[in-house]
Amino acid sequence: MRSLERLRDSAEVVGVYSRRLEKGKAFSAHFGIAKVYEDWRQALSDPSLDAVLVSTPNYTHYPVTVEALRAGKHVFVEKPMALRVEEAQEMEKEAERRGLVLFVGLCLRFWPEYVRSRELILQGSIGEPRVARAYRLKYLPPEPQWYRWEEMSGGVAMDLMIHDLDFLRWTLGEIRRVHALGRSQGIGGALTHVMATLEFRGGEIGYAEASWEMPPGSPFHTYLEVAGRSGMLTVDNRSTWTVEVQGEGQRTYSPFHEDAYLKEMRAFLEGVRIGRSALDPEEGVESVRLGEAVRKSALEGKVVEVRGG
Amino acid sequence: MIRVALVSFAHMHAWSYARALREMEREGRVIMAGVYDDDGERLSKVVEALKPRKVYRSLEEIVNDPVDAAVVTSENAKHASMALPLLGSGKHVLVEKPITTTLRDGNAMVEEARRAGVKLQVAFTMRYHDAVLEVKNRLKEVGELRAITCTNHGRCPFSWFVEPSLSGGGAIMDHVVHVADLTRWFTGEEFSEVNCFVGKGIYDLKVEDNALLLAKLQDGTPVSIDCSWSRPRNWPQWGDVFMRIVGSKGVITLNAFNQNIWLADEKGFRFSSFGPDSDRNMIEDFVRVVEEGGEPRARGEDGVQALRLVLAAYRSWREGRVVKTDELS
Repeated sequence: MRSLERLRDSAEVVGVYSRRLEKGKAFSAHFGIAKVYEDWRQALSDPSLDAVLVSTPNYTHYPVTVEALRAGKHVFVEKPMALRVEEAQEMEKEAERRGLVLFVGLCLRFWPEYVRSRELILQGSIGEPRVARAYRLKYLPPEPQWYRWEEMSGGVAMDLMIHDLDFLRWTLGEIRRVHALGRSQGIGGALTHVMATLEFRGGEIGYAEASWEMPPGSPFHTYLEVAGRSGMLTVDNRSTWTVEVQGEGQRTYSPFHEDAYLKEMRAFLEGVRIGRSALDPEEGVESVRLGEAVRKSALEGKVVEVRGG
Repeated sequence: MIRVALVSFAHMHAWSYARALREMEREGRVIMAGVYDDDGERLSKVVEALKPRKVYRSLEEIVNDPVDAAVVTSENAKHASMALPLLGSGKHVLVEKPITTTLRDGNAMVEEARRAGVKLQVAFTMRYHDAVLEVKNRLKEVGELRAITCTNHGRCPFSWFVEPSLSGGGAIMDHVVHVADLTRWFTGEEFSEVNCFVGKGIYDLKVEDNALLLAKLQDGTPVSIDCSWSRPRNWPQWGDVFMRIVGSKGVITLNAFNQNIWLADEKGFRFSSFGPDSDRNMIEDFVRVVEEGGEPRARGEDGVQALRLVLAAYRSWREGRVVKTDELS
């Protein structure tokens, strides 16, 4: 929403829907949005809308997106695009059939250090890539609850690791085999800590780890390392901060005037304008396929071949 | 005062162990009895650098010499053939890691030490690192174990390390054992299964230079190990020993080689360590157990158990499946 506010020359926010009406009203008051929808179908059928932003709980991405596309709206859908490959494929087909833009919020594709790392790799700075590592570690706040249910969130592999799986596939190519181990904490059965090893079609290997099991209050930690035949790069979000705040609200961070979310939203709106998404929904489908493979391996305890990988 | 012989300088750690022994010798705590190497050229370099009391011309000479103990730092594949006669003749042995390259040899070494009533210590130097001890002592604070992430990265050591007949394998053989050993030592659990992916080579070698292991402990805790020789020659540091231990009540992370001064000099930009002297601590422990009895921090059996994981990883790589460690006899 903050990104959309800054992009008001290209798009106007017409209305907001939340499963809890109170929340929707508070949101509209805070951002000065005219309409608050009481029903999500009502929102999707509003003829004054060109596009819809779907950032509902993961398990609803598929039905809400399909409905929105059927109502003739362009869609920005938060990752994971869907919880199953078949659903993601149906979403992709629906958008294609109707000539609508379907953009999946894989924000690492706009994240400064990841974009720069990929550029360095593709321009040959480290030679042919060989071994990659990626971490994405955080804690799970008590709310909302749906994250804790495997069938609602897809667990930490689908919700969080999907960023690194997508980034590594985008940068190093298709993944052939996956082996993963996972742990589940408490109610709902969602995997909350997952470690995955990846074998790429080109012979590279990779390690990805995603967690919701960090101690409450600990800072979000991300790490990327790619070693190649003639060099290596690493970037750790804990050592690249540009602002440190001590005392109340103590933290270090790395602000950008134009951050990844703004760039991502701009790319979506530009896609709507020209009628072609900057991020092919196929990429979203493939990220879901990888998330599924990691989950399957972790649950079955076996090496999983990625179909089509 | 005990007399210690240095057997082979194939492994670069031998120089650091020799340095530690020399320091202790100057303090009047040990006698560095002599040196031996089966490589004549290497031996002359050693003799020139260390000016040892005695130069042995064969392993036989050490066996017949009244030394109390020997430090064996040969190529991996020669550990057993050098250690066995020494153990058999009643010498205590500190052997470089990995203990050897086959379970049969490893078990034979353990058995021979027991039969002869001498100590067999494995050079798991990390057990003597201050930060490692701190993590071991604080481990219970994290509650129940949830997951352990390990890396032991390094530069490619080349030389005999990349010659399979001498090394027994590449990065897996060289770099899995330290973190595997620490995991066992910290948790008291053995590894139950492992899967291993090996990628296309960083270099064009006869051995693997990279690998990713995903293993389970007997209590179900998942453990990942990256043992790759992935640090480029001009990386500012040789490598790392890193462990992130996630528990139900907290997380404790070990980054053992993070005590560095950033230095730019005529050799370029690099890290200069101010970390603890684990090698010296380990040599002191070896001398202590030889003199006073008791057990060293890492025994032959520990070397064998770490090697078991290594060999299971190789089988997993060959067969493309998850391998149980008890499949290996």
